[in-house]
Amino acid sequence: MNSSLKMVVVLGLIAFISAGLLAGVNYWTAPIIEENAQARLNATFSRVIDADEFVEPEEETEFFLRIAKKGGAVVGYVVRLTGQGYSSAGIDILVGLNTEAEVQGVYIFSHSETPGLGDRITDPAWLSQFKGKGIDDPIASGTDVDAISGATSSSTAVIGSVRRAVQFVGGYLGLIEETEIDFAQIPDGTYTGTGRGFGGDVTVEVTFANGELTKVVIVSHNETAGVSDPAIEAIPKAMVAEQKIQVDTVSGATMTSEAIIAAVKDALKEFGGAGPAEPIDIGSLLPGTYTGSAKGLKDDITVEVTVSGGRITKIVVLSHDDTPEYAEPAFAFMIDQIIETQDLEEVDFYSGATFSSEGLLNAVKNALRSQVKLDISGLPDGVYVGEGEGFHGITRVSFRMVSGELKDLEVLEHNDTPEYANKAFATLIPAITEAQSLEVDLASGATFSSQGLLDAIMDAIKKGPVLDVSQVPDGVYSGTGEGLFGGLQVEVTVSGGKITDIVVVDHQDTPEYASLAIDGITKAILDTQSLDVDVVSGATGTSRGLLEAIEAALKSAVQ
Amino acid sequence: MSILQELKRGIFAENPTFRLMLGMCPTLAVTTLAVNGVGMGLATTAVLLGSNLVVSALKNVIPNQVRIPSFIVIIATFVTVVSLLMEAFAYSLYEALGIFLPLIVVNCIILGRAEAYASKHSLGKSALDALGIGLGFTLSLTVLGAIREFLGAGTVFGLQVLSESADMATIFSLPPGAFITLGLMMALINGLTARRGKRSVARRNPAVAKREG
Repeated sequence: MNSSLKMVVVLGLIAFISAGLLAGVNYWTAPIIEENAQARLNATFSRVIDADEFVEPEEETEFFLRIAKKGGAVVGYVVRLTGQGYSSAGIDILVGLNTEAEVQGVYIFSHSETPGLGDRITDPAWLSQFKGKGIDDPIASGTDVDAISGATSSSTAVIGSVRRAVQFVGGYLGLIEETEIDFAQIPDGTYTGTGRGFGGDVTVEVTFANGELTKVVIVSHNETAGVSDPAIEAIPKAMVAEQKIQVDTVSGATMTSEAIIAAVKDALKEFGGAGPAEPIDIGSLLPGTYTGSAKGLKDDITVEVTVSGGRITKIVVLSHDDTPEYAEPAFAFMIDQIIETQDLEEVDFYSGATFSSEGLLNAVKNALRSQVKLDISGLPDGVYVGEGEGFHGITRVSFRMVSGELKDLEVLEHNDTPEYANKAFATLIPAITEAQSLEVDLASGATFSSQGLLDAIMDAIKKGPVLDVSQVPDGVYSGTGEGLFGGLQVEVTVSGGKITDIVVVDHQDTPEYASLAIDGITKAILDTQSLDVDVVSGATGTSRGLLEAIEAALKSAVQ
Repeated sequence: MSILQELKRGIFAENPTFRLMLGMCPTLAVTTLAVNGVGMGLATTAVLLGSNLVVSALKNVIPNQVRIPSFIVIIATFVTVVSLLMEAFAYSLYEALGIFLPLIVVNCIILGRAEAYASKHSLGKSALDALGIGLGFTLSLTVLGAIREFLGAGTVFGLQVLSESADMATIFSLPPGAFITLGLMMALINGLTARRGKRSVARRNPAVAKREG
């Protein structure tokens, strides 16, 4: 054989056989190696949570996460994350948490902290302080956990990592609402908040204009100069640039970054930073006209909302930039719906014009979240009755509105000490009547009684004029309301300025429950001669429908 | 040469560590503990035995021009096999040996024996040579490891020999300790060999011994 051909063939054969051999050995050992690696990892995981199986979650997660199972049942989670300690290498930390996101164990997987100083973070006694900490705990050094003196940097890094793990699992389990704040809902202005950083509180000022985050200023902080600078520099810029709060943290200054983010969230917490925004209680709104705007399909939609007697009575779109042929039917639909249902939470959008619909809804909400100045002269005529909390109990007042003037203000009932309260009422009532405003000086020495009176007047204004039965001419009036399962019709008999009889002509509700409501409500109204009666528990639907029907009947009489 | 002599040659006269001074890298690096010395030695022995056998068997087939690449492929194959088996069945040892396990490929002992011995001798002799050299390497590493472990940590094969409170010479667990121990061991062996050599020379040829003495 040709010698050079022989060289190639022999070397080739040796390589070929070697490759075959290696493939075989690999095929044999690979599963064993894999199993061993898994067992070792599990053994490490078992240090932080008592479980026998650790499963990778199906979805991608922000941090390394394993679902810990024992006997097949999920008992908790293992989070592996890196904290930035003293050494640039970082501290590799395992945190075990139960299904309530409470810490079960913390284990330092690996670290390069200074021996003798930073390496004290591996002390099991110190690590055991985290046990039981959950999403409601601050997990901040000096408050509920201790740093290690002489190893502040290393131990604070561990504390921060544990806090992150808790928040992460809390979020993963849906225990923490991680809603991004809807900037469009935030009225223009500057808001202040604080967050806990490495050296203490970080205070920020956040400025909004036209539903956009325009400025984030760090007012004060105690962070390490130099180290924290990149975060202080970059985070506010990133927030404004990206128009979001949850921006990426700056590596090397994670704690400061998080403190700034937390401070901004704190500043905006009333707009849902910590959860969804509080629903608006329409019944407690002052009567008056509210203006607000929110982004529609193109630009802002501005609305004027009129509230009277605890109800939205009118909504006018002042300006918008959306395509009229789509937007206008949507606005009409939305306005009708809101006035009809008096509900801003469960609202249907006009199909085909969702953005315009949502914009209108948000504009209404923004309007109602704004402050309105109480204008007494704008209140409709009628008799007003309301309750407030005095010094010892309820204070009830009544007054009349005649052509925009507040008259006949009197205290119907109070439980405060007479010698103080009477003096207070004697000064306040003429003062209010004189000024036609609630902005009067409180009577000194009887502040609570005075406040009770003012609260009661405010309550009366919010409730709107009560129906004054004495003004209703004699006769039999019928009205309808919506019961639990359908329409409900009543006939109310008024005689000599008093309700003398209430008859339910027709209803669709379950008889045994409905009769409870009918008997209870009828008796209460006949006794008190007022529609301000409690609904019958167990038959709320029927009660409400009945009251609605009676009110409608009496109103038809007055008109 | 008898089987015993063949084995003895690798352990004493041609001891790879102390006499031939081959495979210094793993010698210095892994001998912090006696058990690491045993592990490294046995792993090397296994590779050596495999490569010597194959090289000896193929000595008439492999063309002279490609013998070195062929040897390296053969050695690398055995090293990978040993490495995989160790990872699967002796993980703690695998971890302790670290990078020096794959580096057995470039251990001059193995290529040296393949080139200098196995490619010229019969299968049986090559096997005995591999066992002898391997045992010599293993013994040397184990002795070095035991000394360093004893001086550095107060234990031998993980067993507590000195009281735990004893103040140990940690330097012996660190790289400089490896050089110091190796140097002292070599001095000792050279000293012993020199004396033995003189004695055996004297036994065989008293005249020469006398003249040189």
